[in-house]
Amino acid sequence: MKRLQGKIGMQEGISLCALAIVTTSLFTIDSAEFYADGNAGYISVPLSVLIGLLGILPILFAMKKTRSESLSSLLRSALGRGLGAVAALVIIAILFFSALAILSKFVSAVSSFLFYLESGYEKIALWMLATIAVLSFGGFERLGRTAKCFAAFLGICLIIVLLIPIDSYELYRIYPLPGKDFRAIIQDCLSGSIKTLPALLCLCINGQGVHGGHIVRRSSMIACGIGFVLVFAVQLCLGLSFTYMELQELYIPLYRINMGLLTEGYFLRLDKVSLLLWLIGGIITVGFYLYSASLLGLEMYGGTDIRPSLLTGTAILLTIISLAFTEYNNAFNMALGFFENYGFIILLGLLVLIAIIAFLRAKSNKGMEEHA
Amino acid sequence: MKRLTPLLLLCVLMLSGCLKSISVDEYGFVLSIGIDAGQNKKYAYSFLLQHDEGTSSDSGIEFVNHILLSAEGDTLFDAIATIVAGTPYVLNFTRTNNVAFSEEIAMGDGLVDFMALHLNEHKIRPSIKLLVVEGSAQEFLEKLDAQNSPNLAKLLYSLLENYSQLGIIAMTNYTLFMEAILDGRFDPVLTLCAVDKSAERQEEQGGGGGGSQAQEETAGTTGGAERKGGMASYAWGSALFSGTSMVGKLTGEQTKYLLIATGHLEDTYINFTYEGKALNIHMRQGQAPDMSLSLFPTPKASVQVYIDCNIAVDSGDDTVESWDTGLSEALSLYMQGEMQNLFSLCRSLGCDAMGFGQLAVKHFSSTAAWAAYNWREDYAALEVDFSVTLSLQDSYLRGKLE
Repeated sequence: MKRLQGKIGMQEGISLCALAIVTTSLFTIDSAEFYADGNAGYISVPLSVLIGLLGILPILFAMKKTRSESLSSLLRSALGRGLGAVAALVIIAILFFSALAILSKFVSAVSSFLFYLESGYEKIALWMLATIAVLSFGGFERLGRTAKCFAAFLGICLIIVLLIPIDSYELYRIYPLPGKDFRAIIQDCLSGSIKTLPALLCLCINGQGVHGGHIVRRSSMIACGIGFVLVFAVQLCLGLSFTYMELQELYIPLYRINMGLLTEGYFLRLDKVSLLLWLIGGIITVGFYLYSASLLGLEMYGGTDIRPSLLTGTAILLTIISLAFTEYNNAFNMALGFFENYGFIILLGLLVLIAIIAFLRAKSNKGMEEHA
Repeated sequence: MKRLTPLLLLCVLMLSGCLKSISVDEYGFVLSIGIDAGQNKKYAYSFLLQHDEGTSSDSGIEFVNHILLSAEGDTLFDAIATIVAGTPYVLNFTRTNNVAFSEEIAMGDGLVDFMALHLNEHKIRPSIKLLVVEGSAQEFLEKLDAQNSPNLAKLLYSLLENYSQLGIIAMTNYTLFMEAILDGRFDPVLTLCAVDKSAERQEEQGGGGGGSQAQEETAGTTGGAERKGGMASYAWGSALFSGTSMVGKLTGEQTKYLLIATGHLEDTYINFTYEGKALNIHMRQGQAPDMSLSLFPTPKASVQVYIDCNIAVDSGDDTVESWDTGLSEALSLYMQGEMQNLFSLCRSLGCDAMGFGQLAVKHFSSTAAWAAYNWREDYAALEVDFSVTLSLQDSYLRGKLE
């Protein structure tokens, strides 16, 4: 089977996963909706990363219990080929939705902030997807090594971007505390887990590529720890830079974080450069999701070569993203909104179900072995 | 792979990073926008452009010629369209540093109309500074030119920053203005600018022309003092806003006390007379002020400021000795009185220039409760106690020769 997977170490796995968690958590937030009733992002977004980790733990332990090296083997052993294929379809759909959420955000941001409108969304989408295709056609190993090259660099850049406007941070902006009522915060935490879970699922799908389940578990925990710290820092700094009323107006608040600065300087005008840096993270993340969805499809539905799946996946992404900026924009946004608000119910429910069945199967298998 | 290599190299040629190429010299970079009342349309917009012109034959140094374009329009975009129709280059706003509103516009609904614009449509940064000009904004931009300044953008922002460090202007940018308007935690205070006719006269006299006409003009100075040289345009003082409308002005001297009360002062000099001796005190705000506010039963606030002082001008002999025996207390009381007067002025104008709303919001635990609360109503009844703690720095350097 030509899976183009290769093998990567734990550092690459952590880089890939942390990059995907941070990028998805920071750049796919719908500001107008998320900050409408106040800003509790510095609580709910980092907590959603931990909830994402909690959500994947049953799967990780089920993989350990059933001695599965990847998600596809767990699906097969727990649900069988038929039901496993259905579950895989749901997971693939969720990975595509996550990829589309990132792509649409970056296509519109690059188009609006860097270019003028006449540049056209579809040209920018094509340019991004060409890069994504080059990465994902190189396979999991290329994705992992690229992520390792950029993850630390992007993390340092993120910290620098947060430090530059330090003079403009004011504590009063984060008030009223805690910004939202606890019910709304819990709801944000739960729905936000859909931004972390796809990255962790991708790591599970590529279990073999990272030398097995125990590395997936450790990588997931470390990546979530890094993600927690970084998204907390960013959300806190955003809260100190903008009131919740301003945050609602900002498409990507991180892009505008230094606009409150009164002093001029070279750093004030690095926002466009920083957007291109975040775009690198977005491209690697989408490549990771695309490759993982294709691999899961290949392993669950049969086939000998991943490249047709990758090509199909790229074509699907390009088609949907091109349609997303036409008259189908409302339908696309509604679907994405539904996925971002309720996707976690489907995914968390599915993962818990898979894990329970896997545990039950493992227990009955063990009983049968002991009986035999 | 061998077959693919030429194809890949061909692809590299297409990866220029440009979707549509426009060379730099085809852009007209707008550094400042001026907004005045129009004759036929609602507004008259002026655009100050930086434009590379050539090289000085004497020094060989490249100089920059500045261009001022102007057009009337109901919106900024109308004026841009009118100007673009008659210029051979594309107006680019990515380097725009400030927008200057004439006083007349600022007192009306000019800021409301400006806020209705989507700045990103022309890639105008939300960090642009907002200025109010006494008189014509167009004239202010015209007089900004300072003898072939190599970089007008740099000159503009360093001018504002230097003035700000002296404490004679307050600065606000579009993001902070929007914050004030959207959330009502404070009222905006903009930089107040004007044109000094005396400096302009001196320039003309130096150039050998217009002397007799200039002598007839007496109006227009820099904060009341005549000046020779430099730009005729200058910034001095602050424009007070209540919501989106300008309601009053502060002099450079009053602005110093506003900055002291809000903790934004860097360096300044204050004149003070003690026991008949004229003093000039150099002040630096080393520590942020302690501010507290209680809303119930009646709104009451206290502000404690800490200032490090040095004596810069001293017409007496024993000033340093008298610091602890009366001078410090007298200066503190004087400063408290100035801040109290300033606060009373701002309150009477309905302008929360000192940002007490930033303290009021801390009394609320939900955005709904804050949104339902009417801070402006409570602000009208707010009483503030100011206290000033002064400490003399370098008191061991007593001799004036030092």
